[in-house]
Amino acid sequence: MKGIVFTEFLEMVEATFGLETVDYIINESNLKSEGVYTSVGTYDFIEMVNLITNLSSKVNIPVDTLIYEYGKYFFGVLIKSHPKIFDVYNSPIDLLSSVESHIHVHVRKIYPEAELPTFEILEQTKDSIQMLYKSERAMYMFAQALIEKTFEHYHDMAKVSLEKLNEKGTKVKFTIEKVYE
Amino acid sequence: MSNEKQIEIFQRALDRERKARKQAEKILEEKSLELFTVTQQLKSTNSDLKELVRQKKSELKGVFENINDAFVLIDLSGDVLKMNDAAIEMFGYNHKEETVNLMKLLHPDDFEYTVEAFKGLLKKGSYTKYRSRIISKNKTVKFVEVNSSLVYDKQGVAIAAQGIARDITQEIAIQELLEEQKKQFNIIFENSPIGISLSRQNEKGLLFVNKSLCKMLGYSVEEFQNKQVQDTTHPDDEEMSRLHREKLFRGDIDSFTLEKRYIKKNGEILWAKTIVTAVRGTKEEIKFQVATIEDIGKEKLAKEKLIASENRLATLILNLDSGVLLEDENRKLILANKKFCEFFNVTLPPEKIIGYDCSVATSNKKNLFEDPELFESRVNSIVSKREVFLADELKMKDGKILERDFIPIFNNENVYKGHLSTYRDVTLNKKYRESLEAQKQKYSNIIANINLGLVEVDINNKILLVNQTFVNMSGFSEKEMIGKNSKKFFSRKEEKTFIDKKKEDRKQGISDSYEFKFTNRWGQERYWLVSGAPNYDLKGNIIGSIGVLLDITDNKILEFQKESLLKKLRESNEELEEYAHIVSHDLKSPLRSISALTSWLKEDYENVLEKEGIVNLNLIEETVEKMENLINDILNYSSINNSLSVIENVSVCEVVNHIKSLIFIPNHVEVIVDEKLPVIKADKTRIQQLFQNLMGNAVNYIDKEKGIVEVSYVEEKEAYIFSIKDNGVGIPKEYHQKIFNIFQSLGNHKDSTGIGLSIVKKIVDMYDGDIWLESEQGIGTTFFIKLRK
Repeated sequence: MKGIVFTEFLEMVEATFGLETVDYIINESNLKSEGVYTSVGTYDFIEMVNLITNLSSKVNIPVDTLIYEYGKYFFGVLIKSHPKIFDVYNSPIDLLSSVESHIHVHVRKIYPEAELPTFEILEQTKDSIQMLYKSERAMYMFAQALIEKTFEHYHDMAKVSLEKLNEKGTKVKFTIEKVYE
Repeated sequence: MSNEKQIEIFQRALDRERKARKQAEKILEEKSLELFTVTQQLKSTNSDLKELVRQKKSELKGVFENINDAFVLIDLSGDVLKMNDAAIEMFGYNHKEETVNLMKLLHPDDFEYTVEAFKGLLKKGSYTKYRSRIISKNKTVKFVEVNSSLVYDKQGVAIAAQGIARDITQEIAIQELLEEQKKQFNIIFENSPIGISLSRQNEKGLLFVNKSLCKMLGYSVEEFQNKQVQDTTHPDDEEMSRLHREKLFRGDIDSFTLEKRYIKKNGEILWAKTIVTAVRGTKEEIKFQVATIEDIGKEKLAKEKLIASENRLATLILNLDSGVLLEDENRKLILANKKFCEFFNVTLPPEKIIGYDCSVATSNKKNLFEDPELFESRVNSIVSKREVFLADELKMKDGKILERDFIPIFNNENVYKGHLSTYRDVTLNKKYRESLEAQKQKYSNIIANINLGLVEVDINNKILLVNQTFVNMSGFSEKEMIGKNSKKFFSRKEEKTFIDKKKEDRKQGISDSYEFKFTNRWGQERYWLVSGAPNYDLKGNIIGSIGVLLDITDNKILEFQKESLLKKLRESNEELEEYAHIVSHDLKSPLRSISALTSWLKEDYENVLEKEGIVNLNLIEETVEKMENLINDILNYSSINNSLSVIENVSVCEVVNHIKSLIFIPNHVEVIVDEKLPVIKADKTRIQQLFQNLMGNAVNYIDKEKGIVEVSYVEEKEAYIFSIKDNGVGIPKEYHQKIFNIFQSLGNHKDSTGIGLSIVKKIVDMYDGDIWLESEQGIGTTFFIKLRK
């Protein structure tokens, strides 16, 4: 997993719960990297799992909620570092439908070793899109946060519902419908 | 939280940050090194490429000089500045030896096109695929294709043009040939009676389809652009077609042939033989499919007819009135029919006994025959001999007689393949034949013993058959005559020509009877009545003639005798007539003398003779007169012969009136004559004799105070019936016939000689007429005379 996910995560934890909580979850997680992360490096995903699990027990917030919140936070990082991407698309549905075919293609150019989830488009209309999320990481809550944030970015509203197609959540169907006020 | 603990946490966080920085620096360092290495590689590749470009440049220069294609550099007026060896060879000119201007080498027809092309070159800086004809030094016309470009000076002004020319004369020729062949192919394709289509794999519609196919299925070429031939397949044949196509696609087969049905556009069914062939590319993939479709509707029909005819034949054999048995070389039964089963008391139907061992069957069935052992041994013997045996007669116990034909069967290599036996029930035939034989015997006996000669000859008069009577008649033996020409037995020439004539008549189909004089073996002349008729064969062709002969020699002799008798009779009649004349004449002159002498005696001695003497003299005179009448009548009678010497128009009225003045009619008798009495054709003298006799009789035999004689007539269609009616004494019935005989007189009238009515009868007969009478005693008589007009 890319280092930036770790560094930004720890920054969010530090900003939300304080440096002490950061120190605590690193110590508790017994990490191979010893908690040393750089955004350009690559680290084992299990470390992220440990960190989130320990954070969850420390602050007594469910893992899914934490991931969802981190997703929201991470969207801000993306806006800051790659603002141009959002200029390319006219609407959130446009952008979502291009994640697989356009955005991930560019990601792979920069990070050839990146292990990316796939978003298969099952159905698409002007006002709705149905996508199948597939990833061994099962970070569908992260994805949901990003989707919602995307709509927010374009000043649109949407109803995002998900359906887990297996228990682990490595296959999840997203149904996104634009909501008019 | 204590400061100490806080410091500890910061310490750890700082430591992590440092380590992270170092880690990041290390990553950057590694990336830098990577970049450096890549840059170094790029540099070396770049210099390699530069060297390569240099090398290629010099190589290219050499290529230009030695290039196989002609290279020419010209100034803008067309003068050649530079040309390579290939160009020299192509054009035949060398710019080093003479000034060569390409414009002058151009074929005149291509001049304008070239000017236009050159303008294009000047405008665009290059011109490709310029094609024109040039005339080389040795006057041959060559097709060249030129790719050219302009050459500029440093200021960018065009100063020359360079071009690579290729001789495409042959290419053009090949192209033309190809086009010609394509055209020929198209002609074949279009005019082929077989439908042809070409389609590309996985593409809808046909690339090509010919007229025949369009016509066969009724779709136009345009319609086939969206349609495969297989789309018109009959629903019942779709599955079969699909299976074959799949095999073709899988590569199991390269082509397949099907007899299948299509539905035409108009809904009709087309039976066709379809051959689909795959055209594969280099990777074995199918590029095209060629389908040829042949209309086999007629063949199909013929095939169906053949099957129908085979079925009919099979049914025919099955129901044949002959028993049929076919065995193979191992005596296994291949085929038998119903009749065979019937003959041999087989209760199973014919199809159930196929495969039976016939040698066993022969043994099982031998008891049906009168001589079982003979039957079996005969069968085994003819089977082993493998020869044709026809009309073998087999007697069965039940009295039936079978006739067997045995025919061995050999194949083309003359190998024995079994045999065919056919059995016919000839019981009836045989009986029929026997009865026919008996009939023939009967008629032969009749012919042999009949009292008529019988002779049969063929068309060349060769004698085929004679009977015993004919042998007796001719005097020649049967052995002598059979096979000989009948003419040989005729001794006289006229006999031979006569027979030839008769032969011709028979050929015309004429049958007739004739008398024939034949000189028999002993030289005796015999008269035969021959009845001849042509003889026909079963088809109605004349194959000769049959003559039936009756010996009429005896009759003939009698006939001759009769003729000579008649002749004698005629002669003696004539003599008699003459004699009568003479006698009458001779008798008459003494009578006249007597009459004259008596008259003189009376005159001279009237006074001397007493009254008695005078009476006697008168009696003499009367008798003499009577005598004369008698003589006259005889003379008349005998002079009436059958010769109708004179035929003239005779007015019966005139004749009758004349008679009235001739005969003595007493005053008390009135003769009434019908003034309308007709004119007839006859001898006047005879008619007068006829009426005079009848009228005289009528007047003479009047016994009434007032006598009436009436002459009248009635006209019929073909005859006149005259009648002479009187009211005299009448004639008794028994004399009605007798009176016409000579010397028959009823009364004692002084003038009656008894000859008159004989004369009448004779005249009426002479005219083929008829005479009869009606009479009543004491009342009168009417004579009727019927004379034909």
